[in-house]
Amino acid sequence: MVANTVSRRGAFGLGAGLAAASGARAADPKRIIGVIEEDPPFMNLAISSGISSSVASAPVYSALTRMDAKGDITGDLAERWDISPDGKTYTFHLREGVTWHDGRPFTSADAQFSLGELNSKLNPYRGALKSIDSIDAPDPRTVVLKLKNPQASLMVSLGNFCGAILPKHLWEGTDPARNPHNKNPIGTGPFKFVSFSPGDRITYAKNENYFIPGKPAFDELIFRIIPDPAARMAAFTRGEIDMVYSSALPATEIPRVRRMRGVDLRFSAVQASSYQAYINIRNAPFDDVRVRRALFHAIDRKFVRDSVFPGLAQEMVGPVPPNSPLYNRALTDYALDPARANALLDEAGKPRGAGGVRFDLRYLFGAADLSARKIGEVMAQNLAAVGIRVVLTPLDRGTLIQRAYVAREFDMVITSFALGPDPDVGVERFYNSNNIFPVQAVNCSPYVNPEVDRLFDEQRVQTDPARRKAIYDRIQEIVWRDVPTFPFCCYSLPGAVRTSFATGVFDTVDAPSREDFAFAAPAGR
Amino acid sequence: MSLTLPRPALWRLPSLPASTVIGIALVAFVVLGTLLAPLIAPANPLALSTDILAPPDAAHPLGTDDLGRDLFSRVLYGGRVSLGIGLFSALIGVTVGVGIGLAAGFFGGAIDEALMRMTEVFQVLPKLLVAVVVVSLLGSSLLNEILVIGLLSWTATARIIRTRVMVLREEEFIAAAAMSGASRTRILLRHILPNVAPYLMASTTLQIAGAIMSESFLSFLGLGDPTYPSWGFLLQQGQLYIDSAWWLTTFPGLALAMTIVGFNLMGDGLGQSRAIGGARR
Repeated sequence: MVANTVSRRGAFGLGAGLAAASGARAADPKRIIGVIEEDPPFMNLAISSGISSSVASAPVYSALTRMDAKGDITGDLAERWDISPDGKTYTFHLREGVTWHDGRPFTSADAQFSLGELNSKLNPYRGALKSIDSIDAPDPRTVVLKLKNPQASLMVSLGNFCGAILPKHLWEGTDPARNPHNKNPIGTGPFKFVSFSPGDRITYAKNENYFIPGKPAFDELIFRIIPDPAARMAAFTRGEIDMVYSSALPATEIPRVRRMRGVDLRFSAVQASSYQAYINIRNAPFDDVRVRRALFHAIDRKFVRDSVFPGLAQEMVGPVPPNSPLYNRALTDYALDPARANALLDEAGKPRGAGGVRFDLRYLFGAADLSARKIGEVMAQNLAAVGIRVVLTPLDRGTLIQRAYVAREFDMVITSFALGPDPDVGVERFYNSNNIFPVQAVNCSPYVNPEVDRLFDEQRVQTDPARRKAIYDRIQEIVWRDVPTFPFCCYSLPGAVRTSFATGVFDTVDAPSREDFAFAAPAGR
Repeated sequence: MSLTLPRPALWRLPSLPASTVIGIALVAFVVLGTLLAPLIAPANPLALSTDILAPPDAAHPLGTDDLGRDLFSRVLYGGRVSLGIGLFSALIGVTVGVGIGLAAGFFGGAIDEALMRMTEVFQVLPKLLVAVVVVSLLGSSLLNEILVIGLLSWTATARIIRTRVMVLREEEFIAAAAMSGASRTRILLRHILPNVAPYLMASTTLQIAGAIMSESFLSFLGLGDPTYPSWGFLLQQGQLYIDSAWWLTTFPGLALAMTIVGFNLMGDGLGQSRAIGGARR
């Protein structure tokens, strides 16, 4: 493995600028190499939503349906489906002859088990599956979902975030957190998992029995693991890596990638990602809403957008991204007004003490997350002006999860979150009190507001889009008034791939997921 | 009876070699710059501006970084962090090293055995690796960095001092002091310590250089304290822009190189002079 890396480097060392990738492709046209930022703790889409976990497990699994580049739902494991006129019964007709990577046949029992026992119980987005009353498998090719009430966003959820189908014969009766197949995933997806060497790479091989004939076009897929952003981008520039996307592509690098020749840079049309901090609202002084609002008046979010995400970020007013049809345009932003922030902090009984400092704010972030660190540096300056001392605390992934989400020893902790094509999927999870758990990507502030909980339940059963929008408007108003989270900005997920060999890699919503790898093709094929 | 004690050798040396003078000049230049930072720096090193990634010009002599901060000011203040960490961790290293070296060399026997085995254990530790692990676990802060670097860099000093003390212990003036009734503590502090002091000058100087290197290594891996950006930290921040904003890596790198070369030249010079002086005594 080492020798292999060295020889690749050697080959590229001579002419890095000379479209190195094409040289590599000539030698090995059917291998595609991507990159992720860290060792994925799990390779299991049903129980983990961390970006590295999602990316690393996406090529292995399938779902009943999927969402295409335009946001339309198409079939995956399900060939077709019927929805009853009352919107409460979904019948999925599954493909014939699909097998698991271990050779066992895939049946409706696998889908029933994965949705009912894994996704509904353990998925961080499981709130989106709450309407499901029962899941039946009347015959091996049919799955029937009965809902308590109609749910507008159900197909989106099943296709993208909470619908990964895992093999029942390997998961039934096991403790999902300890199942060895979390690190050795078996699915029905276009690629089979081959090996994982921590800190180095994950290797996948083509699934010869993939249910779409002739796909995938690549014989081998590799994800290199490179935590350092500069090293990662250097590897992409040198052509050691063919594609880099999502949070592995630092926002600060976008202008440079845009200038690179032979590189296709895309942004997801449907999905936004936010840089968003949880505020620990159980901790004094952040339990006081005036203190939280003071943060909004003191922190220069426009400067963050312009300096950390130049030409990329959109303003975020409220919890729902502005590209969503459910976004409440009537919300007003908190104006940048340090004097107002000072007044609010005085009012909250937090006078300046020695050295003009009112209190400390522990800001936790991943040590490899460059954007989060820069946001922290901006914030430290902005908040110093109103007497809040920011303690910048970079932590490695494991320590961060332990400190922030398990022990809740933070005042603000920041991550980038996919906000989903529908707020039921990507936004509700942060604010519904039924989603408070000691893991990341759920309601970690944790925010409890019975009215908001009730409104989430009400909108879910609304079939009239206008009425649903009205309820969502109200939710946004309340959340924006209570501010349990701090959305810095949002942006479309970026992805970059060398055009010299692959096309169609980033044509879908969650760039890229299993279908991208399945349908991408080497150039000229 | 009057007993003439040999004076520490350093102070009666002939003129220093050119390389040493260059070293001292470099160090003086850097130290002066960082000490005078509040007077020289055109801006607050943390102050943000919309002048993002501006190349060097009249307003910003060394350009600005990705948050519009003035790089010249950041380099000046970053020097305080780098030199401070270098100095304090070298002090810790030298203090521990001298303590252990004196005790081992003077008392000998079982104490010497025990202390030297411990020194060997520390000597074979992969220092940077241990520092990375410890700082990752305890968190990035100036204090943690100083302690870790200091406590991992005393072994060479301990060995040098021990050897020197073992030689001194057999000298006639020590025997004379003992015969005239001086206690062991008095002999150690009044007669032996002053005579190993010149060796410390060289070893401390070299350790400062080593500590600054270690710190920039830690910072370069993203383990520096972001509240107090050192030169290594600036380098790490700048490397992402190595092809678009050359000034972000060039100037902190130059400062780092000047300082380390300066301390090394100075330390080497002092070490050689001390050797000459030692022979003459």
